[in-house]
Amino acid sequence: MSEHLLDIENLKVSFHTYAGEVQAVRGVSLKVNAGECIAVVGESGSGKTVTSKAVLGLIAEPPGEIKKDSRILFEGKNILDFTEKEWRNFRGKDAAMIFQDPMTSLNPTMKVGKQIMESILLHNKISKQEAKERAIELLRQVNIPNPEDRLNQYPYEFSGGMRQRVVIAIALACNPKLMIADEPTTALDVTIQAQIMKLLKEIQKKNNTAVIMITHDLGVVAGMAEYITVMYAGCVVESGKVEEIFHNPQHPYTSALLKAVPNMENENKSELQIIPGTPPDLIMPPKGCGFASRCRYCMGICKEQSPDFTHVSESHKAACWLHHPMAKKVLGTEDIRRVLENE
Amino acid sequence: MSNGNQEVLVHVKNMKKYFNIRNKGVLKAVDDVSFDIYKGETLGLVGESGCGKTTCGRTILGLYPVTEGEIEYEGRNVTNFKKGDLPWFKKRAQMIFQDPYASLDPRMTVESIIAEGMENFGIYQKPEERKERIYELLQLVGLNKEHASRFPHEFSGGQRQRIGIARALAVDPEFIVCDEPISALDVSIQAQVVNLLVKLQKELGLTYLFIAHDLSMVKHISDRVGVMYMGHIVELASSTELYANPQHPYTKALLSAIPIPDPEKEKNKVVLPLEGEVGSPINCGPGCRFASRCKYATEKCKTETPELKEIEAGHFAACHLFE
Repeated sequence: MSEHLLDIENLKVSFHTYAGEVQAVRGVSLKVNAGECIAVVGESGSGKTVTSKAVLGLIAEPPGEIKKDSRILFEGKNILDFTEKEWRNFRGKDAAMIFQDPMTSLNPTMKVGKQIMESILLHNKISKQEAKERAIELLRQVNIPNPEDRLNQYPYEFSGGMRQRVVIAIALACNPKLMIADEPTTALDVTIQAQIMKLLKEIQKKNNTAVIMITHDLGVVAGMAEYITVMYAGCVVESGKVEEIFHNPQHPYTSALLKAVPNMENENKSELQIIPGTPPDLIMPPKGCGFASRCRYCMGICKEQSPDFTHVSESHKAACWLHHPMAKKVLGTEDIRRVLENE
Repeated sequence: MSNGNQEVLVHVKNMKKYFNIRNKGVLKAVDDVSFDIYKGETLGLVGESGCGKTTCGRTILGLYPVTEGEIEYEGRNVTNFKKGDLPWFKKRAQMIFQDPYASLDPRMTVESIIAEGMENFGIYQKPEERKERIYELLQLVGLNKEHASRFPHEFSGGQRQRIGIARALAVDPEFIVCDEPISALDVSIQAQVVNLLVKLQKELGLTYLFIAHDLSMVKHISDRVGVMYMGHIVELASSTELYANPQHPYTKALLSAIPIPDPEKEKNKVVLPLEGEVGSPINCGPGCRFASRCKYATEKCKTETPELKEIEAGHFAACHLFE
């Protein structure tokens, strides 16, 4: 497909603080096709949430600043040039967001039904009665029992998992083409997490909605995403199909991240592989690769210049100097995998 | 619960912790749990939020007074200790808290945070000795002595958790309750802290009660694991046994819900459906607490509380199915 639903090109976002300019996102490119589920994985502070907020125009300026040469194309239109009115039409209707914490993303003083109807009434010319019917239908779609009664309740009367279902219902209200889920299950228990992930998967298949899943937990997205983008220190370090990322990671960070999680099937209680150190300070981002200071394969060039993407396959690319032909004498692409696996 | 050659360090017998809630009744956070913690082992405690695992850990340390039941430490009943005896227990049993941002006083330097316990127990009379020990502790947890004069806000989450660990170690304890020590940290930092805890256990011969909801991490660090559901321990076994051969319907459902970081396995795995939500622990009557969500539930489950029974050597489960 040549035309992507969403095409983020060289997105750069900074925040101006008293301490200085925090370069939260430093040149991120990302493509999403219609009906596809991609996952953005990274630690806190890697810029994944800021990227998603930029797509919905939720970056407050100031203190935030989206750099001039950034482009976000949605169905071919650069949404960064939108006026406030165009944004309002876009948000909720074309793209919707599911926030991390269902305890704070709902308005505690408004009945749940009203919160769902709010965006339906805003974007469609229909009567209140019709909007109410639509809200009931939505609650049924997200498996909330007795939707007619639940509509008249307040968020505090819902449990965490149920609230997240309501948030999903609100996001679905206008059949958006793109849904951004920002750590939708982080605040939930593992059993509820399984329920919510199942629900999201069903909805994505049924409505053919494109989904961007933002998470720090690789395990959560293994069963749902088709493509994974790994972010570190405001940059994309690796992206590819889910199988490629899990079975053939080509960036030392991805590989280390996969190893830092204990394997449930592994019986030996050896030490966990750790990533020493902490992520870099983005007020003064490193000149070279963001991961260089924590990377065990760090070379001289890594600290001087940031690496370009090397394509491993058509869909799989990684930004690491180890893939450079000059470095090949030490480690070839194939060898990296072998070395990483043997350790 | 006997385990031949191992020495029991903490013996919890029929421990109950109820909270009175105004106008609503009684919240039975921990309801009649019994278990032993052996010297030098790590006992994991898992369960969903609200199941009482944190209350359980805090009650053992005396941070909450017990409602009923006994806690024995090295054979001494600590629940009826007089004020004068308490330091004996508190010096031996320490805690690492969940939130490294909330558990350190922002107005104290790292040095005074670590020294506080030493002062309370009168360890190290000379200031130089104490200082020496603080530097030693900082090094032990992977920080260095320049950090001693700084304030908590100057540290990252992982470093703060290390300070919390150094504080717990300051009084040379034998037993540490780790209350979700890694859940507030990033994945790459979690492994650092877990490896540190394992290293310290080996070097200092510590005993841990490791409370967490991250089931894969608990499996990694624990020798034995207990599963809690609404104030009851429903299953208790060695960690390899529990994960390979879960018996209680709740444990089975809980384990099947863990996401596997492998796309093929994750797509093909069967999640045992766990319908509904955790019930309310307020004013709950007798019977198995899991009965309302359990597909095997019978009339008996709703009226009689199942006891934790040994179904195989070292493998305990509380379910009427095994009678």
